[in-house]
Amino acid sequence: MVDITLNQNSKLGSIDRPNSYIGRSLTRDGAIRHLEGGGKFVDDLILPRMVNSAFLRSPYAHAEIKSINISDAQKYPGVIDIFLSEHIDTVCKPWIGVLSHLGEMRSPEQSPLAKKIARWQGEAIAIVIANTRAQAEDAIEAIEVDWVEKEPQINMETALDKDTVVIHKELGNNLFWTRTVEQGDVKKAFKESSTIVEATLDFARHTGVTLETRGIVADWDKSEKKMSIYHNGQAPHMMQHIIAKHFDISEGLVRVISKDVGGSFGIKVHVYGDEMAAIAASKILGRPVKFVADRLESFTTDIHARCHKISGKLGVDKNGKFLSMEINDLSGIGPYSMYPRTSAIETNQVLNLSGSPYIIPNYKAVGTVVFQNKTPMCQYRAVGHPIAVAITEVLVDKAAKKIGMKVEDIRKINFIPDDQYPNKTPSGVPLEDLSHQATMNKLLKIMNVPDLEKQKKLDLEKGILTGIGIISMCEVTNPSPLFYGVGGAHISSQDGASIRLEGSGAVHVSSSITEQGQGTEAIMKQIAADQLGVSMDTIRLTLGDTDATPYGGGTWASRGAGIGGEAVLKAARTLKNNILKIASAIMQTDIDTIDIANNSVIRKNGGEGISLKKLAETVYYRGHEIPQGTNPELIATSSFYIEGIPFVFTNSAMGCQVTVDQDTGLIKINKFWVIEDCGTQINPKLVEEQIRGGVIQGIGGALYEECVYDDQGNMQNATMADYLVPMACEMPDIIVDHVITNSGRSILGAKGAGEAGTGGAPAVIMNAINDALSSMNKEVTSQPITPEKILKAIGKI
Amino acid sequence: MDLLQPSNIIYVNGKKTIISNVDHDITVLDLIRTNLKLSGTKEGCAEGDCGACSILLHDGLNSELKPVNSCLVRVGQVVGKGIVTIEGVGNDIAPHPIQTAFSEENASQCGYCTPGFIISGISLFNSNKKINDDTINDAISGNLCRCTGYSPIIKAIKVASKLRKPLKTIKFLEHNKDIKLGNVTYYNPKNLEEMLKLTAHENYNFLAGGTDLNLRRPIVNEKKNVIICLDSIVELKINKITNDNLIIGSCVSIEGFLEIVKNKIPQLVEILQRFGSPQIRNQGTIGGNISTSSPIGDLAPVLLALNSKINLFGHNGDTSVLLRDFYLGYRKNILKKDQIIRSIEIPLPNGGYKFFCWKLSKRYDQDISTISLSIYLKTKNNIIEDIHIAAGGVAEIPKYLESLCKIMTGKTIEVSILTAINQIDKFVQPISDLRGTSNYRIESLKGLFKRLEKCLKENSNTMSIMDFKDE
Ligand SMILES: Cc1cc2nc3c(=O)[nH]c(=O)nc-3n(C[C@H](O)[C@H](O)[C@H](O)COP(=O)(O)OP(=O)(O)OC[C@H]3O[C@@H](n4cnc5c(N)ncnc54)[C@H](O)[C@@H]3O)c2cc1C
Ligand code: FES
Ligand code: FES
Repeated sequence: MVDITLNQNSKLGSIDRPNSYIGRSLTRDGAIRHLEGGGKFVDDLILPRMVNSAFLRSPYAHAEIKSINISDAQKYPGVIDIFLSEHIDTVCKPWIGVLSHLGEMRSPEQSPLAKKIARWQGEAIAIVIANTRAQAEDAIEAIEVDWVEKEPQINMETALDKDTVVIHKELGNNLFWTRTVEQGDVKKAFKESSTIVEATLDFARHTGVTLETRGIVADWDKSEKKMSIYHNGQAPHMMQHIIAKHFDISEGLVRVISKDVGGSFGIKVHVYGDEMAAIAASKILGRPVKFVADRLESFTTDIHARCHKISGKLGVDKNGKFLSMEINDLSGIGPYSMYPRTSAIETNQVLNLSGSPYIIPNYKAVGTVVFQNKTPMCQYRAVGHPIAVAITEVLVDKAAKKIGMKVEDIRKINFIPDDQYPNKTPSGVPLEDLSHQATMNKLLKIMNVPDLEKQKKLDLEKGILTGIGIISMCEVTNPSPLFYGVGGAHISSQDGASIRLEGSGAVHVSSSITEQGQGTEAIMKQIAADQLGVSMDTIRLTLGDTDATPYGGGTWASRGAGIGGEAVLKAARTLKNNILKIASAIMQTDIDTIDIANNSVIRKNGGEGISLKKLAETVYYRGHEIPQGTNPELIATSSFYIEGIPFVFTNSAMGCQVTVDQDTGLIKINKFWVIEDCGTQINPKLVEEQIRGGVIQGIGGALYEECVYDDQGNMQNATMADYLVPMACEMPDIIVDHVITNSGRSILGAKGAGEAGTGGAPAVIMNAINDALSSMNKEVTSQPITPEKILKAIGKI
Repeated sequence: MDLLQPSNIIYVNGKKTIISNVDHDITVLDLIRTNLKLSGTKEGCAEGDCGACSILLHDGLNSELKPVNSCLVRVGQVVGKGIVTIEGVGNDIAPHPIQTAFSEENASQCGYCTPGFIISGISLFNSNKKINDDTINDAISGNLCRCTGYSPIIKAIKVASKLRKPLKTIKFLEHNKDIKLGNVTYYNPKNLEEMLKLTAHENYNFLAGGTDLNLRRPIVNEKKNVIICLDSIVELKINKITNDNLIIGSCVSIEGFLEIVKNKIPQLVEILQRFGSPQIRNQGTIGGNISTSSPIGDLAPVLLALNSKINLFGHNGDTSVLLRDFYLGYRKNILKKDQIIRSIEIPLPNGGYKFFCWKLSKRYDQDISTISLSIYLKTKNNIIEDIHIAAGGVAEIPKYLESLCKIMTGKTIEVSILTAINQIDKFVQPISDLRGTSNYRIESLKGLFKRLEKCLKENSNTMSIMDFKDE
C-alpha cells in the first residue's frame, strides 16, 4: 500500500485517523474478476430466446439506393427477419444532433438505417436477424441492392467551395456550424506586436479503438411493456431517456444496464444508428436481440475524432509578453452531427482552450465545421485538447526562438500567476485553482533541462538529432449544467449517490457514475469508507443500472471523481450523521462525544461503543429499544453538480526528449515527464495510471494513428494490422509527479485526471521533434508525425 | 483406439473434451466461447493483431505451453492437443501468482485485454527463457492494451516472475488427430508418404500454422473439402546443423527457427523477434512464410541474401532450387499443386563475411515491414569483394538484387555505397501504399545503405533498427 505523505485536503480530516482511505493507493478489488476471465461484457451475455444480428452496410461513401431486394436473403438458414429503414422507422423516431446554446447548428434528421441515400462507407442499410451472427452475415451476401454511386464530398478544405457536392441539399451547402470568439482588439494588438509568429497544423482523423467493440442486447418484454438494454455504454441514464423518447416507451419502463465495459474513451457515449436498429428489432420481434460490432464495423462506424486544420498567429512585445493571438480552425465531421452531444464540441473546445495557460489580452478564434462523406466524428478522449494545446505551444516555442528567449522563460513570464485566480482564458472562460507556475517549475526541476541541453549538443556533434519539448496546458473536467444542459440536451451534469447501512453491518453504495476501467468502483468505496469510518471490506457497490442507482450523468469528461465522488462524500456524511443521532439516543450521550471508526460508533473519550452491526440490528429488528421519535433512516442519498462555472479546469506541464533518425525518419521518445494538478487524489496510483494510459493514447495520435481515406471516401486501413496503436514497445519511460491545488467547488476538492495525457502528449512530442529538427531549420506540422513526414520535412523526399 | 475413426478429442484446461456439432470453419476462439461457453477468452480483432484471444497450446508430452491467437487457429488443428484458457489458470480461491500480481499492480483497467496478457505472462513462466525487461516486453508484444499504458502490466509480470510458477499441464497421448467437421476433413499425416497418399483427393489445401491461410474465410468450399495439416509430419520438423549449413524443416515454427539460429546467426534475432508476436511466431512456420511469397514477408530477404536453397517434395520426389529462383510474381511461386516445401538450407555465414539485416516498419513490434534490407558481404582492404543483397517491400516479390550486387562489387566501400545510393531506383520499383510512398521506401533504403557504410567503417555491429540513438 502506497501511502500519501502529505495531507492533501484539510476538509477531509487528518490522514492518521482510522479508515483514512482517501489519498491511499489501495488495490482495486473490482478488477479481480477480470484476472480469472470472469468479466461480464455484453458479448458474454446469453439470454433465453435471444437472436443475433448483422448489418448490411454501405460499401460506398455516397450512393443512392435505387432498390433493395431481401427476398432471397430471407430464405437463408437461420434467418428470422430482415428490416429496412421503413420497418425500423415504425417504432423509432428520428433524431437531430444539434444544441441551441452555441449559435446555429444545422444537421438533418437521422434515422437508425439509411433511407434512400447512404452517406458514409459503413452506414447501416438493413439489419438481418438470425439465430447466429454467422447466419446473419451469410444472408447479408444475398441481399441485392441496386446502388447508384454519387460523387462524394471528402475534402474538408473544399467543402464550402461553390462547385462542391452538397451532402444535404436542403441545407444549401456543407456548413454544419461556425463560431467566432473575440476578446479585446486583435488587429490593433498585432500592429503593436514587435514579433509575430505563425503556424498551420494538421491533425489526422483517429478513433478510439476500444478493445471491446460496441455492443448491445435489447430485450423488449411485451407483457410488461418494458425494455431492458444491456449496453457497454458510459451513460446509462442518458440512454434510458433517449430510448424512452425515441421508442415511445415510458421512461420508467426502460432499464439500461452497463456492467463491464471494455474501454470507452468517449466512443461509447453517443447514439448509434445500428444500436437503435437492434433495439427496434427487439421491439418488433419481442425477443432479445444482440448486436456486437466486429472490428471492421468498429473502425468504420465508431465515431472518429480530430480531423482539424488549424492556423494560428501569436504577437509578442520586445520582452516576450504575449499581446495577441488569433486562430482559425477547420474541421470535418462526416455527414451528420452526432446525437445528442453534437459534433461541434471538439471545435468549440479548440476555440475555448487555445492560449488558456497564459495572459493574452487580445484573442480571436474562428471555427468552421463542415460535412463530409466519411464516418461521423464526435467527442473522443481529450476533446479538442490536442489541437488547442499544440497550436498554442507550437506558437509559444516559435515566438521564444524568434526573439531569442528560452522556451521555459517565455512561458514563465506569460502564465496566469498561480495566485491570480479566479481568472479567465483568453477566450473568456472562467478559470480557478490552477498552478501553471508551480507545475512548470517542478517539471523543469525533475527534467534537469541543463543536462538535457548538454546531451543534445553532444548528440548533435555526432550527427544525432535529439530534441527537448515542454508544454503547459489546461484540461476541461467536471462540466457543469452550462456545458450541455443549457443547450437543451438531456445530459445530466448532476450525479447521485445513495448509501445505506444494512442489517448485517455492511454498507451499500450506489452511484450514477459508471466503470470502464478508470477505477470508479475503487474510489467510490474509498470515499464512502473514509467518510463513514468503516473498513473497505464492508462496502458493496452497485453501478451501471438505471433500475438500481440514483439518476445521473455517468462517466465522461473526467467527471467521475469530482462530481460523482462528491455525491458519495455528501451521502456518506449524511448517513454518518443519521447513525450518530441514533447512536446518541441509544447510548444516551451527546452527539459531539461520539464518532464512527472501524465499523463502530465509539466514544471519543473512551468507554464502550456500539458496533454498526449491532446498531443496524437494533434499528431494523428491535426498533422498540430505541427512544421514540428517533429518526431511523439508515440510508442517505445525495446529489452534486458544479455550480456557477462551466467546468472545473485542471492543469499540467509535460516534457519529453526525442531522437530522430535522419536516415529512416524513425522517431524514438527517450523519456516523458508529466506534472499533473488534479486536486485531491483519492487514489494516487489510479491517477497515475490514468495519466500514463492517457499519454500512451496521446503518443498514438501524435505518431501512429490515422484513419486513411482514398479520394472516393473508402477507409483504407480499417483493421488493427493497418491502423496502428501503440504497443508495449512504444511506451517510453513516463515519470509522473504532482502539484495539488484543490478545487474550491467541492469538499472533496478533486478535479479530473483522465484526459490530460492524451491532450498534451501530441503537443509536447511535436515541440520536441521540432526542437530536434531546429538545427537544420526544419519543422513538422502534421500529425501523426510519421517517419515519412520526417524525411519530407528535412527535404529528403 | 480405432485408428481409422476420426478423433474428436481436445483436452481443455486438463479435461478431456469431446467435440461435436462443430462447423468446419470455426476457429478455436468460436469453439471456446460459443460451444464450450468459456467466456473469459475475448475477441478484439479476429485477425491476430490484439492478443485478446490468446490461449496456450500443448501436446500432452511435455510442459511447454505455446501462446497462440485462438482466432487464427481452426478447430481441426487442435484435435488431440491440449489447450489452456484463462479459466484454467487459477481462480480467486487458488489464484496463480500472476493473477495476484495483476491485482496488486493495477494491471487491469477495463479488463478486456487482461486474460490475454495473463496467458502471455504464463507462457513466459513456462518457457526456458530468462525473465528480464526484454523478454517480458517480447512476451506481451502481441497483446494490445488501450487503457493502462502497459507499465503496470510489465511490473506485475516482473513481480510474479519472482515466484515464476509454471502452469502444470496433464500428460496424454492421442494418436489420431484426423477429424471431420461438417463436410470437411482435416487430415494429419505423420510422414511424407502418408501425405502423398492424401494428395490423391481431388481438391485439398495444405495447412501449416494457418496464420496466413486462416485469415481467408472460408478456406474450403463445397468441392475443396480436404485440409492436409502439415504439422505432424516428422520430416518437416527436422533441424540439422553442420559446419557450414543449416537444414531446417519447413514446419518448424518461426519461434523454433529463432531458437535454432540465435547462436549461429545472431544478426537474425531482432528481425525474428519482431516477426508478428510470440502468438504468431509459435503458430506460423517458415515454410508457410516462404510459400505465401509475400513481398513483405520477413524471412525471404534474409534467406535470399544468405543464398539459401529450398528443398521441395511432391509426386516427382525431391527437388532443390535456390530461393532466388522460387518466386514468380505477386504471391506466386513455382510450387506445383501437390508440391510442398520440405526444408530450407541456409549456408552459415562464412568467417570472412559480414551480415546485416534491418526491418523498417511504422511500429516496432507486431507490424508488417515497410521495407527490409539484408546484406551479406565480404570486404578486403576497404574493397567490397563479394556482396549479396536482398530487399523486401521494393517489388512484387522479395527481391534478390543481383544487378545491384554486381555494380557494388570490386569498389571501395565508400564508392560502392555511393553508387548504390545514386542508382538504387534503377533496381527497385516500390509501390506506394499505407506503409509508405514509393519515394519514402527508396529514401529509407538509401538511409539503410548509409547505415551500412557507418557500420562497416566503425566496424560496428549495429544490429538494431532503433540504434540511431547511442546509449
Ligand atoms: C498478426 C499477424 C502478424 C504477422 N506478422 C508477420 C511478420 O511480422 N512478418 C512476416 O513475414 N509475416 C507476418 N505474418 C504473416 C504470417 O504469419 C507468416 O507468413 C507465416 O509464416 C505463415 O506461416 P503459416 O505456417 O502460418 O502458413 P499457413 O497459413 O499455414 O500457410 C500459408 C500458405 O502457405 C502454404 N503452405 C504452408 N506450408 C507450406 C509448405 N511447407 N509447403 C508448401 N506450401 C505451404 C499453405 O497452403 C498456404 O497457402 C503475420 C500474420 C499475422 C496474422
Ligand atoms: S481476437 Fe485479436 S488476436 Fe485474436
Ligand atoms: S485494461 Fe482495457 S484494454 Fe487493457
